[in-house]
Amino acid sequence: MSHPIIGNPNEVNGDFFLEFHDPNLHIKKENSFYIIRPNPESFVIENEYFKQLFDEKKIILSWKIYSSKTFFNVSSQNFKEVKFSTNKISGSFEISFCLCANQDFEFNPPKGAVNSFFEGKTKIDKGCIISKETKFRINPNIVNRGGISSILEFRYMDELDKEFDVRYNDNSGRIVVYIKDKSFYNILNSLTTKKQTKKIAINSFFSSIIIEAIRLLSTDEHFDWADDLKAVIDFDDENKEFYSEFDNAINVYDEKFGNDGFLRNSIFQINKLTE
Amino acid sequence: MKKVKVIKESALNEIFQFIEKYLTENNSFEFIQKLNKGEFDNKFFNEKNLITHKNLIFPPFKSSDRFECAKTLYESTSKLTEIEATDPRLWNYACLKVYRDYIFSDRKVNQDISKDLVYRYYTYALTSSATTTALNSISRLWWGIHRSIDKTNANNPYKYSKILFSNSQIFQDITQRGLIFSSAKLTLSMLKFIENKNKKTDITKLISVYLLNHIKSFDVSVYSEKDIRDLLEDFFNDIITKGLI
Repeated sequence: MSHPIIGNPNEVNGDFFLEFHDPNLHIKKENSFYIIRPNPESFVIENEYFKQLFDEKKIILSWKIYSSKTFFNVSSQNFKEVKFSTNKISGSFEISFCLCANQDFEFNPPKGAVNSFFEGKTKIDKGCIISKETKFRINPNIVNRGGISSILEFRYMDELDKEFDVRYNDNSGRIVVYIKDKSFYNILNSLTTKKQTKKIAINSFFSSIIIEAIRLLSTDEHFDWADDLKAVIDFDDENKEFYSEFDNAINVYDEKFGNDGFLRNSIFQINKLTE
Repeated sequence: MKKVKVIKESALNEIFQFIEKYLTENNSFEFIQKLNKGEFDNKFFNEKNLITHKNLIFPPFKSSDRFECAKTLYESTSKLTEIEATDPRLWNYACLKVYRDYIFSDRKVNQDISKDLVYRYYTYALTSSATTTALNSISRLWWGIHRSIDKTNANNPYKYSKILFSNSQIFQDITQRGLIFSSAKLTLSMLKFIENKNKKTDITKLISVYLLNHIKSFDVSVYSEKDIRDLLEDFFNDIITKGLI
């Protein structure tokens, strides 16, 4: 028989919570490093039976730091901090945590602790995950998070049979917008390099493309640029479907690509230019 | 001996644009032939567009054996940090300039090569990812050693690397599965497990699938080396019982 998962309200009464301290960056001449620590004071297990299992060390808090770009993967248990060189990770990284069995044991919850479907004895093996897994992404300020230029570029191509060609799967690993009209390309190039017109140009031409890219993050398709875009928008892996809705994607775009509203600010900028 | 160099980002963007245009308008094999003859060298590798690494060199490959090439490369460049070893500016220089002849023979390039394969064999995507790193002709050599080297065995640190490189299918089944390859414990445990087994390729293929399914419900970070060995043994017994091998 399967076991219930804490964090799923249909299976276990009560949830569990944990917060992490902001990453500490220690800068040294030879080798700088990050320190990541969970905050023990934020850790709460609401369900008494699961709390008892934790206190008896039958289950533990297991957490890990993962960066797919550099295959970095370090695990820790309970509240033990992790320290690692800044050379190990490029850009954002992911932290995930869960509760898991620290040994083989018999799961035998009292009446009312879990959904009645799961009542009775169940054998739990060491390593078995008994909670929902929570993931979040860290974007250390010191690290270059990239930006639009690391995700998207535009190129002139005169032999296109249409005005524009947007390739989300371009071999460069970026989203590439091919433009047929040379004069249009030149103007766009010029506008996106000038401070006073950059936001306006991006919003006028690229917003629909970036919004579509945000929506594509909700699919299972692999895109090389996905990690960079996820870092820019603080993507929530637990809530992928959220990004598939157009109005959610446009709000994420508005919020994350500029301070205090990217769309709003670029309209203000147009207003300023016309004053 | 060629010093390790990286291509400046703006120049690399232009190289990618040139390649795309060239491959759209011309035959892919013709591009490779011209590349190998050095016809694009002036355009791609003008010294003003390159940054030279002070201490590291890209060594010549004296063998066609992939493991030997990987070992030679790694020994010369082991001081690269993981960030440097996922830098598109580095691997594109290595592929398009230093090791293009090696890639040509290693990948058995012929006149039917497609545009997509040119990119896959000879370029490293500008936004590096685990997939790019595991697939690129040269970065995969460096990372294959980096993740399988056994530094506790001073006499034979490449013992498990040799198994990893012994067969393309074994290499692919391990390196292209990020959750396995990112864990040195899992990677080395799998290689140790198949070390004395017959049918290594079939076992790796099946066990890696078992392992990936297992990871969905179990946190293997709490496992000791013995726990992982026992787990792999259980998978193996199940495979035998079901007659999958």
